[in-house]
Amino acid sequence: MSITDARDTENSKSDKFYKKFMNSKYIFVCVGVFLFFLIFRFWISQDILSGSDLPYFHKEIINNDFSLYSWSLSRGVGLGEFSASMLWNYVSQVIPSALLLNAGLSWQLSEKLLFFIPFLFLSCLSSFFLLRTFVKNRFFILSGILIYAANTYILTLLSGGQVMIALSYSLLPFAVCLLTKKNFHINLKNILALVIITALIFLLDIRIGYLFSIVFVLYLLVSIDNFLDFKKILKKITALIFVFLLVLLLHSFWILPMIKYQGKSINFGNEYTSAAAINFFSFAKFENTISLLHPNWPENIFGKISFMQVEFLLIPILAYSSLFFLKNLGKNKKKNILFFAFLGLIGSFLAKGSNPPFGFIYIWMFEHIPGFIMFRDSTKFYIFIALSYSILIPFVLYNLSKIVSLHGQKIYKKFSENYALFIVFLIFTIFWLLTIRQAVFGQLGGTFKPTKMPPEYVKLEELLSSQDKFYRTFWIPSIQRFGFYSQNHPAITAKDFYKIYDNNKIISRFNQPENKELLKKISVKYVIIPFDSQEELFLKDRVFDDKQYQDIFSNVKKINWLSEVKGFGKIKILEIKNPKEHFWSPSKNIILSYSYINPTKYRLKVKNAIKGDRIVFSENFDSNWVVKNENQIIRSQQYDKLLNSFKLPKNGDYILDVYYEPQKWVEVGTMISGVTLIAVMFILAFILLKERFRK
Amino acid sequence: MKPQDILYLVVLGFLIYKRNPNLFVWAGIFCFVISIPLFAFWIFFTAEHLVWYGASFILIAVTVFIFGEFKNLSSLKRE
Repeated sequence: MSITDARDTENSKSDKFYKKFMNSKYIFVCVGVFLFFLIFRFWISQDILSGSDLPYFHKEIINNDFSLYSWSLSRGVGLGEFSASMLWNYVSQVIPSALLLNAGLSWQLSEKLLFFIPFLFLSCLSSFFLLRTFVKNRFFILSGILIYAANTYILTLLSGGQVMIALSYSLLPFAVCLLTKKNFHINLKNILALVIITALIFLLDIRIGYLFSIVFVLYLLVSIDNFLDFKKILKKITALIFVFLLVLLLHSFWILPMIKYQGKSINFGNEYTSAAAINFFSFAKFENTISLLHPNWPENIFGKISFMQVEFLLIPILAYSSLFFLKNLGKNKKKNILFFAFLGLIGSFLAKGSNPPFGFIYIWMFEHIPGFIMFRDSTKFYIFIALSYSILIPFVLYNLSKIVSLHGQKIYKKFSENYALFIVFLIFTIFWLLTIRQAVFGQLGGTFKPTKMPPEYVKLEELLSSQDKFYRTFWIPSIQRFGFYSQNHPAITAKDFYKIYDNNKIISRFNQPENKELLKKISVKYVIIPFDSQEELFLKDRVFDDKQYQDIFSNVKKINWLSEVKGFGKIKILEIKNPKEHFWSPSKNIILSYSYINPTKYRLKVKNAIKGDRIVFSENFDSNWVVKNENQIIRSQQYDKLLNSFKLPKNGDYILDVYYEPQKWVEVGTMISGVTLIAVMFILAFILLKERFRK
Repeated sequence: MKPQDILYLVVLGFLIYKRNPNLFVWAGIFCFVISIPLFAFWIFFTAEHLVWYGASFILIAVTVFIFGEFKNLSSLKRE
């Protein structure tokens, strides 16, 4: 064998290796698993993954009752509130968590099974399905998955514990895949599948559902081939209306009571709805958004915006280079690439909020477009950018590898396409890992820094859950992430109760003498000053300040109507003697006893009543709380500008039913949702089975 | 109006005259590329404006491409 022949054999061997490498399913999976392990390895831990927006759920959170209720005594809102408009979150987060906790699993394991593992699994799988219609090579599909599931936006979101948004985000490519498949091919199977995915996206986070609706409408507009073909346009519009109508029916369980009692749910206040609020929350600049760089990356400290990191500008350069490769594409693929480029630009423009250029457009949209009020924090629009770039960049990389291969062959004859594919994939992966190096090197906080639950909070939980009698706890300045609360011992947060957000001002407000009676009236037994193990409650210029904790404790300790009981380490507990019951009366002659049925229903026994006497129900005033006695309905009246009260209808001893009216609408809505879900699933299963039998 | 804005308008006018969407893409990418050293040397004002100009060129290119597609498809259908 000559030297040239030997070299040829060696070259062909090496080419075979690259070919095998770039086309092997197993290697694709192994490389993918390795990359994701590198980034998300900190989640493999026995400790708690805790971010500021990810609550810690105790087993007692919903008392083993998995029904849906329109009144909630949830975390920090211990006086109760209308909660039907948030039932979607209850179904997707609270109930599954409570189910696993009640099955005996620890929170450490439950949160991983419910949020973190599904995020990884779904984001990879759904981007894979979407990407495979655009890119042929598996490794560039992997690049797209990496862009979608591990960019600075989603990593910041995850580190902050916004797991429901992350889960909803992970489903988005599935829905987009159904849309872009055959240029939104309209048939019943496609539509029903889209209904289920869209309903799920809405269930996990309503804002992401809204964003998907925008994508849906935009795509329908782009997918129209001929604006004069009214028949086709009408068909597409009908499909769109049909999908959202079914999604609405599936979500009736919270939409119906929300519409009926609209005033209760849409009361956001000025801090949510003013232009000043948007200006305050517009953290990202245009150069950040177009570069898919989250403004708080990597520290994720609220309001702390980092400098522009120039390497990120290579991302839009790569993404929009896709427009150079449109020439040889088919009609649908070309339209799809253009659509994603358009989506990326729209996302970049909206994600910067009211920042220049043309920031007034966002403020106008916020004030005039229905539903835009949910986007006070404009960074949610980064989702459009992530979705767009996760398609455009792999598409460019694939075409780039072809160019590299062509030029490579001019220089070196044996340079095959497989070498080029490998080189381009390798360079891009290294570049991408460099952009998220803080995640790779373990410098991210929040859920990427597993933490242990302080034993002090375990002891507090044992103390509170061992007491059967109803009472509330009052947390100064606010409840700590691991702080215990339940239906029987709801927690009130001083910050929200007084609507004061400065720790020093809270103390001077708490020191006022009328607080003694007020706290007794709202059934507060314990005042708790938390141990700030996560360093997020006592802050001065975003840095933990122990002096604030000491000041609060020394001030509260001096109050004579509070007596300190044995606390747990740095958790200080002070007791209020003789707090009122859940139901009580200012009239001394009445004897009351009650039984709790559910958060929206109580049965009350009244003895020695005199007509016109008042009964106080120590929950936030809401006129929809009513008392039923035989056929007479008595509506709640405000007591002390805060609580519910009912005037007794007659003298003597009798039983009263106390209930919350919006609950019946939740029940009707739940029925509609259930029937729709069964019908949709049944029809879809029927179509799938029919297709299988035909084959 | 700053000199960079005037230059942008001149280039935009020229590109509109040329009516080639690919030239818009080149201009957009070029703006992004030259903004990199400016950001690196903390010349933020010009760098930020270059990113805006770049995005506007890309947006025009995408719009022209999309409407070009509609035009092509409609004429094909009529034939």
